[in-house]
This record gives sequence, C-alpha cells and structure tokens, in this order.
Amino acid sequence: MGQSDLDRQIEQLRRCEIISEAEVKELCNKAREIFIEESNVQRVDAPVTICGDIHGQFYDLQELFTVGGDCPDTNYLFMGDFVDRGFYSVETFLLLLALKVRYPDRISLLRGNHESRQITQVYGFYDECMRKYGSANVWRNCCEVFDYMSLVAIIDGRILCVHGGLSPVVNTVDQIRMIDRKQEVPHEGAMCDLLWSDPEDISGWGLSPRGAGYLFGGDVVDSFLRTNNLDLVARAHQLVMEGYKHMFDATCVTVWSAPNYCYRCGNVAAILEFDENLASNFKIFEAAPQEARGAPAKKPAPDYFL
Amino acid sequence: MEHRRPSGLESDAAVQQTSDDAAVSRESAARLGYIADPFIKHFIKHPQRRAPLINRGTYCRFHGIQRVLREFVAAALQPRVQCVVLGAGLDTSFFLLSPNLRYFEVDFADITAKKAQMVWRKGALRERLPEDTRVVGAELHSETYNLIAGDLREFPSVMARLQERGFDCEAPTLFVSECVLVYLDPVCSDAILDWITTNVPRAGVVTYEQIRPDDRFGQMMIGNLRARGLELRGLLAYPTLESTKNRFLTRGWRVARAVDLAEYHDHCVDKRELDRLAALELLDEWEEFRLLAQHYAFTFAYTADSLPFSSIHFP
Repeated sequence: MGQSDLDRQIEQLRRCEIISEAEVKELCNKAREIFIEESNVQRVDAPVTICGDIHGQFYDLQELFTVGGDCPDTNYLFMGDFVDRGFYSVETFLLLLALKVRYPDRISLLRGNHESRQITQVYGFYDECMRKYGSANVWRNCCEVFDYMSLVAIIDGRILCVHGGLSPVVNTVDQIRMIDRKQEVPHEGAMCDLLWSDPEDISGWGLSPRGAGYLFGGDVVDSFLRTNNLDLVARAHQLVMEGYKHMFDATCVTVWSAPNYCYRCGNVAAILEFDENLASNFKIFEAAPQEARGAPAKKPAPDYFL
Repeated sequence: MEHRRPSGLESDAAVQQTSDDAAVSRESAARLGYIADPFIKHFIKHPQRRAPLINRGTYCRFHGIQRVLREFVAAALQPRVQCVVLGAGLDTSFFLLSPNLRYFEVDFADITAKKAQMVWRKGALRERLPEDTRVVGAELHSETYNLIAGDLREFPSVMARLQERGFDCEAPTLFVSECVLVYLDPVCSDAILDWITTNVPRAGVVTYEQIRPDDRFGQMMIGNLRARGLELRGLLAYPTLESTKNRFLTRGWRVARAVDLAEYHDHCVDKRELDRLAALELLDEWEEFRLLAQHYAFTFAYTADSLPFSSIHFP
C-alpha cells in the first residue's frame, strides 16, 4: 500500500465512504505492525488534544476535527470507544486507523472497553460490518487490531490517560507495563479494570454496576498519583452532559466526545487541549447539524419506550 | 430540533405503530430472559434484539404494571371487579394473568382487528381465551374478556360500548394505560379522567408515561419522536411527578403516587433480581439508562381508600 493509496483512502473515509474489504485487511495489517511496537503505556509529548468516546458518530468526529484542528496539524490522543452505538462505527474506526498509519507520531489510539469481540456483538459494530460488507471479515480484522492497541498513555510524564480508570491490582505504572495486553479484553483483572472502572465519590474501592471493573474514590487516585509522581488521571467512558467533569479536586477528569450521544441524550461534547507547558483548555462542541450529515445519512431513530 | 408537526391522520398511524414497537421491545426482553412472557412472541413477525438499556427499561415497565395488576387481581375477592386496558395494543397481560374477572381491552379498530386475528389463529393464545369467546368484526367478545375497538378521544361512546359488553360502573375498576394518554391532547385525556371520576365511584388508574420535557434529554425526546410522527401532546400539561399526581388529587381522588423509572429500578426492584439481570447482559450504558429512565414514570391513583385498591402497595 503506497502513501498515495493511503491518502486516497483517507479522503474516501473523510467523506464517510467505506473502503474495500481488501483495503481494510491491508490497513489493519499495517496498523497492527505499528501498534505491536507500542508499549502498553504510550509515551506522548505535549502539545496534544485528548478525546473521549466517539462511538461511531462519524459526523460528530468531523465536527471534533473542525473544532480541534485537523490531523496532523493537531496532535491527538483518543481514549477509546471508537465503535458501537452510532451508525458509522466502520467509517469512524477506519478513518482513525488510516490517520494512525499515515501519521503514527501525530495520533495515538488507546483501547476502550468497546474495542472487544464480545461487546461489539451486542452494541452494534458487528452488525454494522455485516450490513456494510456482507461478511464478518472486516469485523474480524478490526478485532485483531483492537488486541494490539495500547492500554494507557502518559503525557510528558505527568498525565495518565486511560479509557476507564484505575485497578485495585495496579499500584504502579510499571505494573501496567507488565500486562500481556495482546488478547480479548478479559472479564477481570488489571486490563479489564483499566478499560471498565469509574471514579465515584466513595473512599477506596466499590463494586461497579456495570458488572466489570471497579468504582474508585479520590483517595485511590491521590495515592496512585503520589506513588507514580503524576498530576492527573484523564479518562473517558462515562457520558457527562457538559462534555467534561472534574472530580477529586481536579485530580481526575472525564472527557466525553460524543455530542447528543446515541442521537438521544442532548449532551454537549468536549475535547481537552494541553499546550507545550501542559496548560489545559477544554473545547466544547455540539452535534453536527443535520445538513452536514449529507444525503445518504439516515434519519436517526433512537429507541424509546413507546 | 425543528420538525414539522404531523397532521392528524399520519399522526394516528404513527401512534398505532407504537403498539408494534412496544411489542418488539417486550419480545426482545422476553427472549433474552429479562421477563417471563411466553405469549408476546406470537404477536411479532420480525423480532429484534434491543439494546441492553431498552431491555432493562422494558423489564422495569413490565415489572411495575404486572405488579399492580397481580395485586389487584389477588385483592379482588368480590366477584364483580373489572380491569380496563386503555390503548392495549398487543399487551399480553390478559394471557399472563388469566384473571378471574371482567377484563376489557380497548384500542383503535385497526389494532384490535389485528390482535383478534392473531389471538384467534395461534393455539397458544386462543386456548387462554374463555370458552365462550367469539370474533365479532374487529373485536373479541366473551362474558369475561372483551377486546373492543374504539377511539379514546370519544371516551363516552367507548364506555357505552363497554357497558353493552357488561362493564359495570358500580364495580371496582382498575384502568391501565401505558404510553397512551400522553399522545392525546390533554383536553381529551382530562375528559377521560373526568368521565371516570364522575361515573366510576371506585376506580383506580395506573399509567406509565413520559415525563420531564424541559431538560435537554426531554427536548431531544420530543424532537426525535416528532420526527417519527409522534406528538407527546400531554407532556407539557403534565411534565413532572408532582403534576401527574395532582392530576388525580385535584379531581378529589384519595390517593395518588408517582415514581420515575430510575427510582423504581433502584428502590422497587429486588436486589437479587437486579443481580439476575446483570448476568443476562453487560449493561455498559448506565448514565444513558439513568437519563432515559428519569423520563418515564408510573403513576398509581385511586378514588376511594378501600379494597381492593388500598391493599395494592405501589410503588
């Protein structure tokens, strides 16, 4: 695959058009070669803009790039959950993957709990692949890429970025480095917790209503940050109506980047910019206007109880 | 969101389609093991798997309404109590309960005709009907179970039809309404409650409907449903738990209680049941479930503080 092929694919995906099954396979192979070289703990340099869940809301991802600047002009760190729920998981994930292959040092992609075989079969990505390609090959190729994505990133040695949160069996960043991540997301243990846990106003650890991961309190964050000489835990995973939410004296921040989540929730979205001095700035954005969604875009008809 | 308001006829059709949508959700929840409803599958041509948060909400809705119905049936020792399901759609409660009381279901003729045919053709449903049941046009008639065609906007004539089929204004009567009254102009739904207040001295009502139109989720819900031709006409008139209760209390009803679905899920469903549900499907959409569930509510009210209503502990 030459660079011009890749650029053409990026252009195609930017128009929300899928690329061929053979092109997907090759793109996934290239992406895997890049991810395999990355550590569980990605080192990222500021300036960088960090983003939360996207969930297949392709036109809102375009809005994100409009608000935050295009890739590669802006450096991006996406904290997972690219697929499921929205209508365009295929186009969304493949565009981000193509950008990763084209500009590997400009964009980082962490794994979210939806980057999983099991979850994507319940929440829509599998069905979408079957609908758009008529076979499960694209889904399978993408799942193989999921297995190689990094679990956390650390910006300038100060800010830990992770999809879900902390784990009771992880006290140090080095313990994250020890995880054998190249597998389906397990149902328990460190890797599962990093992708599933949530901060909560409790002390210590609590059971998560999600059935995976844990709830962790401000004392847990405090002790993790001290032990590892860090300033902040930045994570995604939870819908917040205002797009972002600080907790525990701003030692933990949730960033949510899917506006009007599931075309139903009415929330705004946020991205978090860190400049080269790690000064932070949130940018808030709303769902892309209906006109931007183009002619073939289906009218979203989210479910209610009728 | 800007959407054209649907005209009368397309709006009626859209409202009628909600009975299929509700049945598909119920079948999804039944097939996945959330609820025990072996009958709903007979009403579904194209089953769909709903998202886990919809399944869980459907569970709560089913749980609440079934609880009121079961407690009513259990407390109804007098022979002549009755149940009226307004806008029954493809509801299966009659088949689940086999209640030994007068049971009326009312809906648009297009829906009752379809339901009557489905029930008549499926052995599993037909065998649950009283022996004297017969198909009469778009309706099913028997001594105890009657499926009646009518337009709730003309409530007095609907009730006249029920009275022809044995409805007794003097008997304690439970009216059930799930996502029905809210589609009516509040003038019409108020007229229904006024009629009941005036004519049925011992009446109870349980409803399950949308609330909270004013926040961003509520606004989006109104816009999204409008785009499907569904106008929540009654929502602005009764936007809160307080206002849905007052709707009854200001008519002199003795008791009115209301709870939103999120509260109901957290406080009225047994912990072991919640554990059981958690094992059926991973629910990775808690915040969204909470939002959705906060925009639906049960209201339970009754006119006179006497049996069988006073023994119903709901919510």
